[in-house]
Amino acid sequence: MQCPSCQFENMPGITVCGRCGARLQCSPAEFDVQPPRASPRAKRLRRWFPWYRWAAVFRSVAERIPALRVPELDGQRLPWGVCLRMVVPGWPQTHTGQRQRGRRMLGLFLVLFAAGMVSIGTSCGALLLGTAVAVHISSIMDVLWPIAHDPRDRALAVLVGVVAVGAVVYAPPVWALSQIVGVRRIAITAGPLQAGDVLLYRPGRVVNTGDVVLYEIRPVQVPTRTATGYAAVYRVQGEYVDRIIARAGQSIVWEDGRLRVDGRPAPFQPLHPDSLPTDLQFTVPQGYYGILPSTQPQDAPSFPPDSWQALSLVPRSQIRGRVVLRQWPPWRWGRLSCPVGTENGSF
Amino acid sequence: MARFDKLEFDEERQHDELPGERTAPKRTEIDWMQQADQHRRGGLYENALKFYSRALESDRMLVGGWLGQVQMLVQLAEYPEAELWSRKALELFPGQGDLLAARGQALCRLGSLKAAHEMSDGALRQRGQSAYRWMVRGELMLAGRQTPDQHCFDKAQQLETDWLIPTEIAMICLFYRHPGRAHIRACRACEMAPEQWFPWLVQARCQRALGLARQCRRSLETCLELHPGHEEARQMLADQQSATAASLSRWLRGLFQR
Repeated sequence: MQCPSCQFENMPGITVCGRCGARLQCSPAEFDVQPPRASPRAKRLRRWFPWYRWAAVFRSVAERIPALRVPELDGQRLPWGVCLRMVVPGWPQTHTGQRQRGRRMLGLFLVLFAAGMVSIGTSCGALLLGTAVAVHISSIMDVLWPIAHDPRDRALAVLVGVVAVGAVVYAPPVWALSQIVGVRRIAITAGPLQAGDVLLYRPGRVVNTGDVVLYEIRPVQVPTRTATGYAAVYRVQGEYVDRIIARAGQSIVWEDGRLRVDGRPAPFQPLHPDSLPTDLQFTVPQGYYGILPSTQPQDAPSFPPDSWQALSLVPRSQIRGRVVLRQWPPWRWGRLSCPVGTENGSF
Repeated sequence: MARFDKLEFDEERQHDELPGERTAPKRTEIDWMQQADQHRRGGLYENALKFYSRALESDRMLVGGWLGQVQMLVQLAEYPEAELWSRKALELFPGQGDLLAARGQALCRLGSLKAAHEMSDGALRQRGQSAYRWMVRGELMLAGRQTPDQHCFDKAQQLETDWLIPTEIAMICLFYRHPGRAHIRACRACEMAPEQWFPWLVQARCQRALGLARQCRRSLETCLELHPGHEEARQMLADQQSATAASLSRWLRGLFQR
């Protein structure tokens, strides 16, 4: 009897092919000949979400990953010395004899970290710092990968390692740094501040007259008119940067571009005096600072005098901190602590 | 048995089959396979699949029936089912080269190129040759973006001079978005069988993908001449004509606006 699969001539009476093992006889009720079918809905779903393709990609990637294992440490439990050195990118690699690899990792991390710190507060800075952290994570992965053979165990080991290093190396300095310095990016151009500028400020409420500060205006609705004459309600809120003009108990007189505090000419000016109204006069109550909000957007409508007064009295609790440095862009980098000066681009 | 000898049936039932009355001829698996092949050559893969199943009901050891089922499932874009069914067929016929190739094709469409290559290697190692094995090999090359795919397709065409081979190769190339290569194969199929409408339809698909509107319209018109009631060809032709009219009106509008 000839095999339908390999065409081998078998002896009569044999039920299985002697060459390929194919069945030579089938009973009619042994198996179904109707193929499984996919419903139209399933086919539509597969067209939108080809899960089998994604699964194939995942499988192929998973097959390639073991090739990245460090051969020296394969199958061994990691010594504590290597684990402790994970705090510095590339250090464990250098410790286990892979000096070139370790140096490259450390060098790349340092370059990315330095570039990220220089451009902190910008999208580019966030990207660079994120990449630096990714380099550190890859260094940890490189070390922890050979601990286990099962992909889930490996993933767990890497996750634990990354969380531990994050908690030990990154969290404390980030927290400490956030107590010392804050970063704000200017969103709109107003006076000497350009959109995209990055300012560093010292968090705290202890400030002096003449300091440029970051402060918050709680939502205030100001009735005004648009340029075309329509009545409008302008909502002022958010964080602003401007100079402290007066403390509690002092009186402010702003007249024809001249500022007087307690009747004497003030040695400093608001950041953008041109945007202020011609005539303004008020006394700062207790618990407040006097800040003329001159850094309004250029297209902001003119406010009535009572609204200016309400906006100019800033409670102490709404002071975020003293602005110390314009960090970005590099060509306008500089300290902002100098209390005198009214030219655009400097304080 | 003696105890059933005296059973009485209704009179009508006895007259069911009168002598000389025409009864439908009993079809064999060969007839079903021919029917399946006819439908396949017309691109009616759903019907072809049913006829392959009918053929297998008559003879479950028909390798061609199993192979045809898997191929139709692939053509109907039911790849996981095709892979499952090819596995089942391979349990029955473990060393069958074409079934191995069919499984390779299903795996390739599922994205498992490595496994598909293993299957294709196995298929080519088996005794004998077939165009389908080389066609699948070419598809694997195409899916893996390897250049020798053309040689595999050429080999498939050399082994069988049937017009269906270049047509199906064209469809494979279209699936992997190589309309230029597909067009060459479709033209070859049209040259081999100008009286068949299906190669013209495939050629029109290639030309539409290439943006050859006039040639596409001509191919569709030929297709409709050979098969006047073909719905897809009619729809495609209507789309082409509306697209041409729209571009013409755009051009005229632009001319007058200037």
